[in-house]
Amino acid sequence: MLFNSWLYIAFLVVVVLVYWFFLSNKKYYRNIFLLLISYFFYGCWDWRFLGLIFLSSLIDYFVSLKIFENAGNKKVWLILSLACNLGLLFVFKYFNFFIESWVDLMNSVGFQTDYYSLSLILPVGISFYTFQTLSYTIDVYRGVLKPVKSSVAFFAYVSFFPQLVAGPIERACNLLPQFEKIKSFNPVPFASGVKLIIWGLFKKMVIADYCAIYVNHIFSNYTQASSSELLLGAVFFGFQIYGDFSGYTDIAIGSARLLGFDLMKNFRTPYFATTLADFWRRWHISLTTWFRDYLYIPLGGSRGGLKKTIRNVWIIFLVSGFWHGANWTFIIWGGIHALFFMPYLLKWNENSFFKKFPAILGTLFTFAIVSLAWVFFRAPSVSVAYDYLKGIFVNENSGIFDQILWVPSLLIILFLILEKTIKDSEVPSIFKFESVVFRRVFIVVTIGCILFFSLITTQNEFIYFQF
Amino acid sequence: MNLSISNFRYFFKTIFSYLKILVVLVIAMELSLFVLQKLNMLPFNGPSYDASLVQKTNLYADMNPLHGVWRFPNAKARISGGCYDAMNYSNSIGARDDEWKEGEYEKSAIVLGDSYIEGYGVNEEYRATEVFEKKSGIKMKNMAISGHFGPTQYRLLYKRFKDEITHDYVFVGLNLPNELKDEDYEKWKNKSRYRPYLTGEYPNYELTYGSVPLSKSIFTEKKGISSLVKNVLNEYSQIYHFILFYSTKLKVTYWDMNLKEEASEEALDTQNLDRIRYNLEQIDSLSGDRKVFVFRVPSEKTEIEIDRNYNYLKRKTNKTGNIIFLDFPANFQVPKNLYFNCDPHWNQEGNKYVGEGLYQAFKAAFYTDKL
Repeated sequence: MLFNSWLYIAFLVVVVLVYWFFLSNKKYYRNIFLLLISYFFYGCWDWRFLGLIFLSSLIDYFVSLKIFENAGNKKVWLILSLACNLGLLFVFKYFNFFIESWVDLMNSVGFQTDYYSLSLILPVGISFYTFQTLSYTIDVYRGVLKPVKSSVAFFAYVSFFPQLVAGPIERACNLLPQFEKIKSFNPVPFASGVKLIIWGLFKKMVIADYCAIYVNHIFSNYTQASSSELLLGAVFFGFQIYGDFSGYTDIAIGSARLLGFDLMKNFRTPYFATTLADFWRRWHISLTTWFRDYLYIPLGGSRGGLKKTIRNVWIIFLVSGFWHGANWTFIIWGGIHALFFMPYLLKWNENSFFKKFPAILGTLFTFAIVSLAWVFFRAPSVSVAYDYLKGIFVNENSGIFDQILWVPSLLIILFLILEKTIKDSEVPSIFKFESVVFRRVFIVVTIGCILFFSLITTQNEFIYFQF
Repeated sequence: MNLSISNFRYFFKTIFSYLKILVVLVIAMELSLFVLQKLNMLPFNGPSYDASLVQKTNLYADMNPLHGVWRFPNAKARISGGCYDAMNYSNSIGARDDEWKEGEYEKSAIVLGDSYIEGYGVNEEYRATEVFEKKSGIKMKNMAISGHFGPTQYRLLYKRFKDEITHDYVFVGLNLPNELKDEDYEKWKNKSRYRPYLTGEYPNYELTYGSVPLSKSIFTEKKGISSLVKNVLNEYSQIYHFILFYSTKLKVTYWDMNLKEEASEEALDTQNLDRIRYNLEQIDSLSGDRKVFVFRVPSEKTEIEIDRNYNYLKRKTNKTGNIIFLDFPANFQVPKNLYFNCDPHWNQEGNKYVGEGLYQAFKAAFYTDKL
């Protein structure tokens, strides 16, 4: 059930009506309802994986209680949780990658090794809910969180449908208490939730899906594409993935808000970042902060001197790349970010020479680095990504399009103008005009644009569902 | 606290206010487009506001037990998409052409073919057959039709009408390799359309119809609700045309991409090619002493593949009768800009180009074979 489908809209309307009509002040039954519809939502993809999410929730529910009760050795219980969660992730997501890489390595040094792989489908959202349950157990272990007693509330927290398949990766301390509160209907956040859903659909169906038409064609025919087409292909992909992922996040946050829940912010207009460090404070915030809190800081963070900090930053980025997918392309993507993060660590940006440059140059440079890395993220293999990037500089092809790609380019410019008006808010300023009439006119026009573009594009899945 | 009555009032008030805005915006846009249309400032045709064009029935349907699809006699319809807009009129026998009067033409020909030959998307006077007609002086009685129509049906249609319609020649346009797919009984036998196929081996074919009887075909006379709604919008809404035109325009590159297909290197589909040549031979036999001119529908898409199939037919078809295969001038291809942007058929210029090419091909055959 895709967020950008009529089926989801119908599902959400029914859920919201039942929720506010009958259940909002009955905490226990409300949580059971949320749990059941979340499992139904997840089961629509593949009901067989419901067992996995149930198992992951069950382990962390009991392990956290045991840790809190100080039963036996706390560390053993934590290791048990880590082993189970990361074990599931390893089997479903990384097993074949390690086997393939091992076989390739053996064959390259002259040992003929038999190939063995598991025919497993990657359960949708496994990386997201695994990280969510892990953070809960680690927080309980650290003593910053008391384990929740209600199993229903905990299971509903893990499987909460708006953010189940692609985040934001919520922290228990933010989301879990919300399951224990009595909800009262408030039209203000409800209206803001609706606006956020509309803006999310705009990002997904107008920006991302339209750019996807060009991106897919350019990446599939990169050997025939001209240099400028390859360059635009990389830029378009940057906007495709941003529109896609942040669009999903907005719909998720908006949907949760319709049910009286507040999810954390995941994006803050990242393409206006002036440095790569700034970019990572604005892009996929829930994952960045997760890695910061549960990997970077435990590794020592920036406390052990420059060398250790550099090491830790490289680890974070490489692991982050690997989190996205079991492919060397993602690891290189992380590596590029780590590499270009170094000047920031070495404080080159504080040099008076660099400070003379206007901020816009920083934004453009950051965007160029991010776009370069996106090529590895999008390409099916490292060699394709390499050839693609080489083609930007050396291709002399006449190209695969007969016309200048002005429509997606103009669309992106329009999108950037709207994004610029967001600032610290969630939606563009046109959704927040003083005049109610103007505000509503813009909302109607935005919905019109979404419907119009739905005639042009095909319904695509969200990119981050594969992670 | 659950939803209260005041919440509901607020909710419905808000929805109602959005609806009011929507209605005002729609009316404002309709009026603006109407004015721009009147000032000839829009790149698309607007609605006709003609109630007679809103019809509950289709122009054509699976209706004939012999050959399946055909047009209703003396009917009219506006066939439009985002990049084409044409009026279609059928004459008293259901052909998309004017009424043919006996003795009015010195020479005339029955033309058989599919949507390309029918002139899908362009008005009658601009079709390739009309261009050819003007140049050659031969009245082209166009009996081509779109809507799942292949060589077996060309033959059966010809068989049905050959004695009713005065003619001196027969022209058959072959849309290769599309015709190969159309003739494939195994592929289509369980589809929900009624149509004839040839089964068996050359030349001992049997005429077989798919599993769906005529009464159960999905392509019926009565329009479905969605096409009726589209029809109403087509004739009464400027916004509909605006959306249709611009959504198509933005899709153009997408269509371009699909055009760039590689020619198939697979072995020739001789089974279906033999079915086509059998039909050609039968048309030749049915036509008596008349000459049958066969030509391929030129395309930009997979020229090599078309030529491979066409050459097979030229080589194998029994030419003891009167079949003449016309050859377009060397390297005759229809450039991409002569197609509609949103549809694989030729536009008005494309029809002109093909009509002139066909005339050159015809002239070349005329000088060599003597009519």
